[in-house]
Amino acid sequence: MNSHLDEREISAAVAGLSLADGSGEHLESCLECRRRVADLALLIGRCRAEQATGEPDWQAARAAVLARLPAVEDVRFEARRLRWWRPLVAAAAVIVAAAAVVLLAPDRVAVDPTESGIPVEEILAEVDAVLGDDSIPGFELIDPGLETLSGVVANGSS
Amino acid sequence: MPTRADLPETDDALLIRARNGDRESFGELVARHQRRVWRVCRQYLGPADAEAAAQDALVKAYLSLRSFDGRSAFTTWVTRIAINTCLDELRRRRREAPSANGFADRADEDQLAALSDGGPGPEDRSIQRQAVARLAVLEQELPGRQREIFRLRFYAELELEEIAAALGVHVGTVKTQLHRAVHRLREGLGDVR
Repeated sequence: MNSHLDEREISAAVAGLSLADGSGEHLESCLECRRRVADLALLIGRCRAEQATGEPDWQAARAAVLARLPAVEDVRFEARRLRWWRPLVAAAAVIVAAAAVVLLAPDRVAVDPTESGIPVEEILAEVDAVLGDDSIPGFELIDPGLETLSGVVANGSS
Repeated sequence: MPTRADLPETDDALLIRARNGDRESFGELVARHQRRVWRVCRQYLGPADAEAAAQDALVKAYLSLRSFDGRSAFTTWVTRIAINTCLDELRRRRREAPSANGFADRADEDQLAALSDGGPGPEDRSIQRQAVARLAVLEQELPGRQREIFRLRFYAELELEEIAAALGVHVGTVKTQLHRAVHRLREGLGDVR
């Protein structure tokens, strides 16, 4: 690869992102492209150095953190204190859920038979009429009839 | 020849002891990670409030040690706590002063003020300071997410994967935003470098 890296590739190199193979090889061997990458990298490094000048005294900062830590017993007690009610909450949630299921289940929808609009008398009359009719399709093949049965009894044969 | 006892303990080993109430072990974790936590806080809140925020974050980490599940490294976990602590502080500030611009504006103001405090020096030094000041201004103009990722990468010196884990985004998102931020800064800087 002979041509220099384009602007986007230079930006990617500054950002520390991987380049395509050819671009990466070119960057390693091209002083001009490396200088372009180094320009911004150095500037960012200077900004970082400016920021580092205000770093605190780390020993003192560590001591300040440790001084703010609550006693271990306090932390453990707090953990226990936070935990004791959890089973109660869980049990209450189960009870509420069970009650909701029982109360809202579809088969619990109450139907008062005395209030039903079903015409029971008409249905029973219709059933009686059907049972009283001898010509129920198919039954004549199975039921030989009373006359046939009487003949069998009298003659000893069908 | 160093013995096994001379080897530094891992964060995990210190964590186990700290969870059982060993404050010295937690103190060792603080010593290892406080600089990084402070650097992260500095990017969000500026130098004046970074130390207090870093302390808050480390104390919160201690109080939450039992909830640390070990799925990420301790350093990633504590970095996320630091970022959340800073965001809470920024939200509190926004509630109290709605006109505030938010993310690390004070950091830039402090930085620019510090830069302008310097007296006249050698010419190259002056050019460098101008470039640094220009970078700070351009950085301020970046979209919030790009600025956040740029600062965490270059000033807090977090790895790309650490930034992704701390912000809860995909590492590809971090790469894209970082690339855009750098490209935008390069375009803005022009010949200032």
